[in-house]
Amino acid sequence: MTDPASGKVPEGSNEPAESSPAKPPITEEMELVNRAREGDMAAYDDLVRRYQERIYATVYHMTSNHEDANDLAQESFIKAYQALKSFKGGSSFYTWIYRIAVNKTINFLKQRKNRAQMSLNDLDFNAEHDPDLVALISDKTPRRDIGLSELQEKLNAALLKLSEHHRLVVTLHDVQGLSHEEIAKIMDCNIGTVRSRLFYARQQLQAYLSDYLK
Amino acid sequence: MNTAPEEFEQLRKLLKLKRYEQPPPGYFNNFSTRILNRLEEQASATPLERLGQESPWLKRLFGILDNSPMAAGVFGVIVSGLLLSGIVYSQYVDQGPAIAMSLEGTPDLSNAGAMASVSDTSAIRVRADVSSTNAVFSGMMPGSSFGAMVQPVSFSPEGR
Repeated sequence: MTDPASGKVPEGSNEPAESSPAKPPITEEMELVNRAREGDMAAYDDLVRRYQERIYATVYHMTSNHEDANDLAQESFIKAYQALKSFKGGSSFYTWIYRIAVNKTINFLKQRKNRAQMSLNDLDFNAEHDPDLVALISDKTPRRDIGLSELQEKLNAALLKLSEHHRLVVTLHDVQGLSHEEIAKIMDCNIGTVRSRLFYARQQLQAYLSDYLK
Repeated sequence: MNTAPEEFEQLRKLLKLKRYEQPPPGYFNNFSTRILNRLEEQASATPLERLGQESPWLKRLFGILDNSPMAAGVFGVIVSGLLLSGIVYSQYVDQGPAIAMSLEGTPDLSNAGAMASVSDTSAIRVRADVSSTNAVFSGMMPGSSFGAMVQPVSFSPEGR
Protein backbone atom coordinates (compact mmCIF):
# COMPACT_ATOMS: atom_id res chain seq x y z
CA MET A 1 0.00 0.00 0.00
CA THR A 2 1.31 3.40 -0.79
CA ASP A 3 1.74 6.29 1.53
CA PRO A 4 -0.82 8.92 0.55
CA ALA A 5 1.56 11.64 1.58
CA SER A 6 4.35 10.74 -0.72
CA GLY A 7 3.00 8.11 -2.99
CA LYS A 8 5.67 5.79 -1.61
CA VAL A 9 5.52 2.84 0.71
CA PRO A 10 6.52 3.97 4.20
CA GLU A 11 9.87 2.46 5.05
CA GLY A 12 9.36 2.44 8.78
CA SER A 13 11.81 5.24 9.34
CA ASN A 14 11.36 7.24 12.49
CA GLU A 15 12.70 10.41 10.91
CA PRO A 16 10.78 12.29 8.30
CA ALA A 17 12.85 12.70 5.21
CA GLU A 18 14.62 16.05 5.17
CA SER A 19 14.36 16.12 1.44
CA SER A 20 11.14 15.96 -0.50
CA PRO A 21 9.79 12.77 -2.00
CA ALA A 22 11.41 11.85 -5.29
CA LYS A 23 10.70 14.50 -7.86
CA PRO A 24 11.07 14.21 -11.61
CA PRO A 25 13.89 16.17 -13.27
CA ILE A 26 13.06 19.84 -13.62
CA THR A 27 13.79 19.95 -17.35
CA GLU A 28 11.41 17.11 -18.09
CA GLU A 29 8.81 18.75 -15.92
CA MET A 30 9.26 22.10 -17.66
CA GLU A 31 8.81 20.42 -20.99
CA LEU A 32 5.51 19.01 -19.78
CA VAL A 33 4.53 22.43 -18.51
CA ASN A 34 5.36 24.02 -21.84
CA ARG A 35 3.36 21.41 -23.72
CA ALA A 36 0.42 21.83 -21.35
CA ARG A 37 0.59 25.59 -21.88
CA GLU A 38 0.13 25.00 -25.58
CA GLY A 39 -2.99 22.98 -24.88
CA ASP A 40 -1.56 19.48 -24.77
CA MET A 41 -3.94 17.84 -22.30
CA ALA A 42 -1.95 14.62 -22.22
CA ALA A 43 1.00 16.57 -20.85
CA TYR A 44 -1.16 18.12 -18.17
CA ASP A 45 -2.60 14.71 -17.38
CA ASP A 46 0.96 13.55 -16.75
CA LEU A 47 1.62 16.50 -14.43
CA VAL A 48 -1.57 15.84 -12.49
CA ARG A 49 -0.71 12.18 -12.05
CA ARG A 50 2.70 13.08 -10.68
CA TYR A 51 1.39 15.26 -7.91
CA GLN A 52 -2.22 14.21 -7.32
CA GLU A 53 -1.49 12.06 -4.28
CA ARG A 54 0.71 14.60 -2.55
CA ILE A 55 -1.65 17.47 -3.21
CA TYR A 56 -4.64 15.46 -2.08
CA ALA A 57 -2.80 14.32 1.04
CA THR A 58 -1.79 17.86 1.97
CA VAL A 59 -5.31 19.17 1.57
CA TYR A 60 -6.78 16.16 3.32
CA HIS A 61 -4.50 16.48 6.34
CA MET A 62 -5.43 20.14 6.56
CA THR A 63 -9.18 19.59 6.35
CA SER A 64 -9.61 16.06 7.74
CA ASN A 65 -12.44 15.69 5.31
CA HIS A 66 -12.36 13.60 2.17
CA GLU A 67 -15.05 15.50 0.29
CA ASP A 68 -13.42 18.85 0.96
CA ALA A 69 -10.02 17.46 0.05
CA ASN A 70 -11.42 16.06 -3.17
CA ASP A 71 -12.97 19.38 -4.19
CA LEU A 72 -9.98 21.47 -3.19
CA ALA A 73 -7.43 19.19 -4.84
CA GLN A 74 -9.38 19.20 -8.09
CA GLU A 75 -9.90 22.94 -8.00
CA SER A 76 -6.21 23.46 -7.34
CA PHE A 77 -5.25 21.56 -10.47
CA ILE A 78 -7.90 23.36 -12.50
CA LYS A 79 -6.73 26.74 -11.27
CA ALA A 80 -3.14 25.76 -11.99
CA TYR A 81 -4.04 24.88 -15.56
CA GLN A 82 -5.85 28.17 -16.04
CA ALA A 83 -2.89 30.07 -14.61
CA LEU A 84 -0.26 28.05 -16.43
CA LYS A 85 0.51 30.96 -18.74
CA SER A 86 1.54 33.04 -15.74
CA PHE A 87 3.92 30.35 -14.49
CA LYS A 88 7.35 31.79 -15.20
CA GLY A 89 9.38 28.83 -14.02
CA GLY A 90 10.99 30.83 -11.19
CA SER A 91 10.21 27.91 -8.92
CA SER A 92 9.50 24.30 -9.77
CA PHE A 93 6.02 23.35 -10.90
CA TYR A 94 5.94 21.16 -7.80
CA THR A 95 6.38 24.16 -5.48
CA TRP A 96 3.99 26.24 -7.54
CA ILE A 97 1.13 23.74 -7.51
CA TYR A 98 1.68 23.17 -3.80
CA ARG A 99 1.39 26.90 -3.21
CA ILE A 100 -1.86 27.07 -5.12
CA ALA A 101 -3.31 24.16 -3.17
CA VAL A 102 -2.14 25.52 0.15
CA ASN A 103 -3.55 29.01 -0.46
CA LYS A 104 -6.83 27.58 -1.64
CA THR A 105 -7.06 25.35 1.41
CA ILE A 106 -6.22 28.11 3.86
CA ASN A 107 -8.83 30.39 2.29
CA PHE A 108 -11.35 27.58 2.47
CA LEU A 109 -10.56 26.88 6.11
CA LYS A 110 -10.92 30.55 7.01
CA GLN A 111 -14.38 30.58 5.48
CA ARG A 112 -15.27 27.32 7.16
CA LYS A 113 -13.91 28.56 10.49
CA ASN A 114 -16.66 27.48 12.84
CA ARG A 115 -17.76 24.49 10.88
CA ALA A 116 -15.04 22.02 11.71
CA GLN A 117 -16.09 18.57 10.66
CA MET A 118 -14.16 15.39 10.41
CA SER A 119 -14.92 12.51 8.14
CA LEU A 120 -11.73 10.61 8.53
CA ASN A 121 -10.49 8.34 5.85
CA ASP A 122 -10.03 4.71 6.77
CA LEU A 123 -6.68 3.72 8.07
CA ASP A 124 -4.58 1.59 5.80
CA PHE A 125 -4.42 -1.97 7.09
CA ASN A 126 -0.62 -1.69 7.15
CA ALA A 127 -0.85 0.84 9.97
CA GLU A 128 -1.35 -2.03 12.39
CA HIS A 129 2.05 -3.39 11.41
CA ASP A 130 3.99 -0.16 11.68
CA PRO A 131 6.53 -0.78 14.45
CA ASP A 132 6.31 2.77 15.77
CA LEU A 133 2.56 2.66 15.98
CA VAL A 134 2.55 -0.81 17.45
CA ALA A 135 4.92 0.46 20.12
CA LEU A 136 2.72 3.43 20.78
CA ILE A 137 -0.40 1.41 21.46
CA SER A 138 1.22 -1.51 23.22
CA ASP A 139 3.27 0.32 25.82
CA LYS A 140 2.14 0.08 29.41
CA THR A 141 0.85 3.59 29.52
CA PRO A 142 -2.62 5.06 29.79
CA ARG A 143 -2.96 4.73 26.04
CA ARG A 144 -2.67 0.93 26.08
CA ASP A 145 -6.43 0.51 25.87
CA ILE A 146 -6.79 2.74 22.92
CA GLY A 147 -7.07 1.43 19.40
CA LEU A 148 -5.54 2.95 16.31
CA SER A 149 -8.84 4.41 15.16
CA GLU A 150 -9.38 6.21 18.40
CA LEU A 151 -5.81 7.41 18.37
CA GLN A 152 -6.38 8.69 14.84
CA GLU A 153 -9.45 10.55 15.99
CA LYS A 154 -7.63 12.16 18.90
CA LEU A 155 -4.71 13.11 16.71
CA ASN A 156 -6.92 14.74 14.11
CA ALA A 157 -8.93 16.56 16.73
CA ALA A 158 -5.67 17.92 18.12
CA LEU A 159 -4.48 18.95 14.67
CA LEU A 160 -7.72 20.79 14.04
CA LYS A 161 -7.08 22.87 17.15
CA LEU A 162 -3.94 24.31 15.58
CA SER A 163 -4.07 27.42 13.45
CA GLU A 164 -4.02 26.81 9.69
CA HIS A 165 -0.40 27.85 9.33
CA HIS A 166 0.81 25.70 12.22
CA ARG A 167 -1.16 22.71 10.99
CA LEU A 168 0.27 23.21 7.54
CA VAL A 169 3.85 23.19 8.77
CA VAL A 170 3.30 20.02 10.77
CA THR A 171 1.56 18.38 7.84
CA LEU A 172 4.23 19.27 5.33
CA HIS A 173 7.17 18.42 7.58
CA ASP A 174 6.16 15.67 9.96
CA VAL A 175 3.57 13.92 7.81
CA GLN A 176 4.76 14.53 4.27
CA GLY A 177 8.45 14.80 4.95
CA LEU A 178 9.19 18.06 3.15
CA SER A 179 12.28 19.98 4.14
CA HIS A 180 12.20 23.34 5.89
CA GLU A 181 13.48 24.99 2.71
CA GLU A 182 10.71 23.56 0.59
CA ILE A 183 8.09 24.52 3.12
CA ALA A 184 9.49 28.05 3.23
CA LYS A 185 9.15 28.29 -0.54
CA ILE A 186 5.63 26.94 -0.50
CA MET A 187 4.52 29.19 2.33
CA ASP A 188 6.47 32.14 0.97
CA CYS A 189 8.23 32.85 4.25
CA ASN A 190 11.73 32.39 5.61
CA ILE A 191 13.13 29.21 7.08
CA GLY A 192 13.28 30.69 10.57
CA THR A 193 9.54 31.23 10.49
CA VAL A 194 9.01 27.64 9.40
CA ARG A 195 11.19 26.36 12.24
CA SER A 196 9.50 28.47 14.88
CA ARG A 197 6.03 27.55 13.64
CA LEU A 198 6.97 23.89 13.66
CA PHE A 199 8.29 24.12 17.20
CA TYR A 200 5.22 25.92 18.44
CA ALA A 201 2.87 23.53 16.65
CA ARG A 202 4.63 20.52 18.13
CA GLN A 203 4.43 22.05 21.58
CA GLN A 204 0.72 22.56 21.16
CA LEU A 205 0.15 19.04 19.89
CA GLN A 206 2.29 17.70 22.68
CA ALA A 207 0.02 19.36 25.19
CA TYR A 208 -3.21 18.25 23.51
CA LEU A 209 -2.00 14.65 23.23
CA SER A 210 -0.15 14.35 26.51
CA ASP A 211 -2.34 11.43 27.60
CA TYR A 212 -1.28 9.41 24.61
CA LEU A 213 2.42 10.12 24.68
CA LYS A 214 4.99 8.92 27.18
CA MET B 1 5.07 21.26 29.27
CA ASN B 2 7.87 18.92 28.40
CA THR B 3 9.37 19.87 25.06
CA ALA B 4 12.43 17.65 25.12
CA PRO B 5 13.43 16.29 21.71
CA GLU B 6 12.55 12.72 22.70
CA GLU B 7 9.05 13.88 23.49
CA PHE B 8 8.74 15.33 20.01
CA GLU B 9 10.06 12.02 18.79
CA GLN B 10 7.03 10.31 20.26
CA LEU B 11 4.82 12.90 18.69
CA ARG B 12 6.43 12.39 15.32
CA LYS B 13 5.86 8.66 15.63
CA LEU B 14 2.24 9.33 16.38
CA LEU B 15 2.00 11.66 13.41
CA LYS B 16 3.10 8.78 11.21
CA LEU B 17 -0.40 7.50 11.71
CA LYS B 18 -1.56 10.22 9.35
CA ARG B 19 0.36 8.63 6.52
CA TYR B 20 -1.92 5.62 6.69
CA GLU B 21 -5.12 7.55 6.19
CA GLN B 22 -6.30 6.56 2.79
CA PRO B 23 -8.91 7.92 0.42
CA PRO B 24 -11.52 5.44 -0.84
CA PRO B 25 -10.01 2.57 -2.84
CA GLY B 26 -9.43 3.45 -6.47
CA TYR B 27 -9.86 7.12 -5.77
CA PHE B 28 -6.78 8.17 -7.73
CA ASN B 29 -7.54 5.94 -10.73
CA ASN B 30 -9.78 8.55 -12.29
CA PHE B 31 -8.60 11.65 -10.51
CA SER B 32 -6.79 13.23 -13.45
CA THR B 33 -9.58 12.18 -15.82
CA ARG B 34 -12.09 14.05 -13.69
CA ILE B 35 -9.92 17.15 -13.79
CA LEU B 36 -9.45 16.99 -17.56
CA ASN B 37 -13.20 16.48 -18.01
CA ARG B 38 -13.90 19.56 -15.94
CA LEU B 39 -11.38 21.55 -17.96
CA GLU B 40 -13.00 20.44 -21.19
CA GLU B 41 -16.44 21.32 -19.84
CA GLN B 42 -15.19 24.76 -18.95
CA ALA B 43 -13.63 25.22 -22.36
CA SER B 44 -16.88 24.34 -24.14
CA ALA B 45 -19.12 26.29 -21.77
CA THR B 46 -21.15 29.25 -23.00
CA PRO B 47 -20.15 32.67 -21.63
CA LEU B 48 -23.11 32.55 -19.21
CA GLU B 49 -22.13 29.10 -17.98
CA ARG B 50 -18.53 30.23 -17.63
CA LEU B 51 -19.67 33.19 -15.56
CA GLY B 52 -21.59 30.78 -13.36
CA GLN B 53 -18.54 28.56 -12.95
CA GLU B 54 -16.31 31.47 -12.04
CA SER B 55 -18.87 32.98 -9.67
CA PRO B 56 -20.69 30.18 -7.88
CA TRP B 57 -22.93 32.65 -6.06
CA LEU B 58 -24.19 33.89 -9.42
CA LYS B 59 -24.95 30.33 -10.42
CA ARG B 60 -26.90 29.81 -7.19
CA LEU B 61 -28.79 33.05 -7.80
CA PHE B 62 -29.76 31.96 -11.32
CA GLY B 63 -30.82 28.60 -9.93
CA ILE B 64 -33.12 30.25 -7.39
CA LEU B 65 -34.61 32.56 -10.02
CA ASP B 66 -35.19 29.60 -12.32
CA ASN B 67 -37.02 27.59 -9.71
CA SER B 68 -39.10 30.28 -8.07
CA PRO B 69 -41.22 32.71 -10.15
CA MET B 70 -41.96 34.64 -6.97
CA ALA B 71 -38.27 35.19 -6.31
CA ALA B 72 -37.77 36.15 -9.95
CA GLY B 73 -40.57 38.74 -9.64
CA VAL B 74 -39.15 40.22 -6.45
CA PHE B 75 -35.71 40.29 -8.00
CA GLY B 76 -37.11 42.08 -11.08
CA VAL B 77 -38.84 44.69 -8.93
CA ILE B 78 -35.67 45.28 -6.95
CA VAL B 79 -33.55 45.65 -10.06
CA SER B 80 -36.09 47.99 -11.68
CA GLY B 81 -36.29 50.04 -8.51
CA LEU B 82 -32.51 50.34 -8.37
CA LEU B 83 -32.44 51.35 -12.02
CA LEU B 84 -35.11 54.04 -11.56
CA SER B 85 -33.38 55.30 -8.42
CA GLY B 86 -30.16 55.53 -10.36
CA ILE B 87 -31.78 57.53 -13.13
CA VAL B 88 -33.48 59.91 -10.70
CA TYR B 89 -30.31 60.32 -8.70
CA SER B 90 -28.21 61.00 -11.76
CA GLN B 91 -30.65 63.74 -12.84
CA TYR B 92 -30.50 65.24 -9.37
CA VAL B 93 -26.71 65.21 -9.43
CA ASP B 94 -26.67 66.86 -12.85
CA GLN B 95 -28.79 69.72 -11.54
CA GLY B 96 -26.90 70.01 -8.27
CA PRO B 97 -24.11 72.36 -9.41
CA ALA B 98 -26.58 74.62 -11.14
CA ILE B 99 -28.61 74.97 -7.98
CA ALA B 100 -25.46 75.67 -6.05
CA MET B 101 -24.89 78.77 -8.10
CA SER B 102 -26.49 81.76 -6.58
CA LEU B 103 -27.22 85.21 -7.64
CA GLU B 104 -25.42 87.75 -5.57
CA GLY B 105 -27.21 91.02 -4.79
CA THR B 106 -30.32 90.09 -6.68
CA PRO B 107 -32.43 88.05 -4.30
CA ASP B 108 -35.48 88.28 -6.50
CA LEU B 109 -33.66 86.59 -9.32
CA SER B 110 -32.34 83.97 -6.92
CA ASN B 111 -35.84 83.17 -5.80
CA ALA B 112 -36.86 82.81 -9.38
CA GLY B 113 -34.35 80.06 -9.76
CA ALA B 114 -31.92 82.01 -11.80
CA MET B 115 -28.67 80.27 -12.28
CA ALA B 116 -26.37 83.16 -12.94
CA SER B 117 -25.51 86.04 -10.73
CA VAL B 118 -25.82 89.48 -12.13
CA SER B 119 -23.95 92.11 -10.26
CA ASP B 120 -24.62 95.80 -10.29
CA THR B 121 -22.24 96.12 -13.14
CA SER B 122 -23.98 93.37 -15.03
CA ALA B 123 -20.89 91.28 -14.95
CA ILE B 124 -21.33 87.62 -14.40
CA ARG B 125 -19.63 86.31 -11.32
CA VAL B 126 -19.34 82.68 -10.66
CA ARG B 127 -18.59 81.26 -7.23
CA ALA B 128 -15.19 79.74 -6.96
CA ASP B 129 -16.53 76.46 -5.63
CA VAL B 130 -18.58 75.82 -8.70
CA SER B 131 -16.72 73.75 -11.13
CA SER B 132 -19.46 72.62 -13.43
CA THR B 133 -19.16 73.60 -17.04
CA ASN B 134 -22.83 72.94 -17.77
CA ALA B 135 -24.45 75.39 -20.09
CA VAL B 136 -26.34 77.04 -17.26
CA PHE B 137 -26.86 80.25 -19.20
CA SER B 138 -28.62 78.64 -22.06
CA GLY B 139 -32.00 80.04 -21.05
CA MET B 140 -30.69 83.47 -20.17
CA MET B 141 -30.05 85.17 -23.41
CA PRO B 142 -29.98 88.96 -23.54
CA GLY B 143 -33.45 90.26 -23.28
CA SER B 144 -34.73 87.21 -21.49
CA SER B 145 -37.59 87.30 -19.04
CA PHE B 146 -35.24 88.33 -16.25
CA GLY B 147 -34.47 91.54 -18.02
CA ALA B 148 -30.81 91.18 -17.19
CA MET B 149 -28.26 92.09 -19.72
CA VAL B 150 -26.00 89.13 -19.98
CA GLN B 151 -23.04 89.21 -22.18
CA PRO B 152 -20.48 86.51 -22.71
CA VAL B 153 -17.29 87.31 -20.91
CA SER B 154 -14.22 85.40 -20.08
CA PHE B 155 -13.88 85.00 -16.37
CA SER B 156 -11.91 83.24 -13.75
CA PRO B 157 -12.77 82.22 -10.21
CA GLU B 158 -12.46 84.90 -7.61
CA GLY B 159 -9.08 85.62 -6.28
CA ARG B 160 -7.22 84.06 -9.17
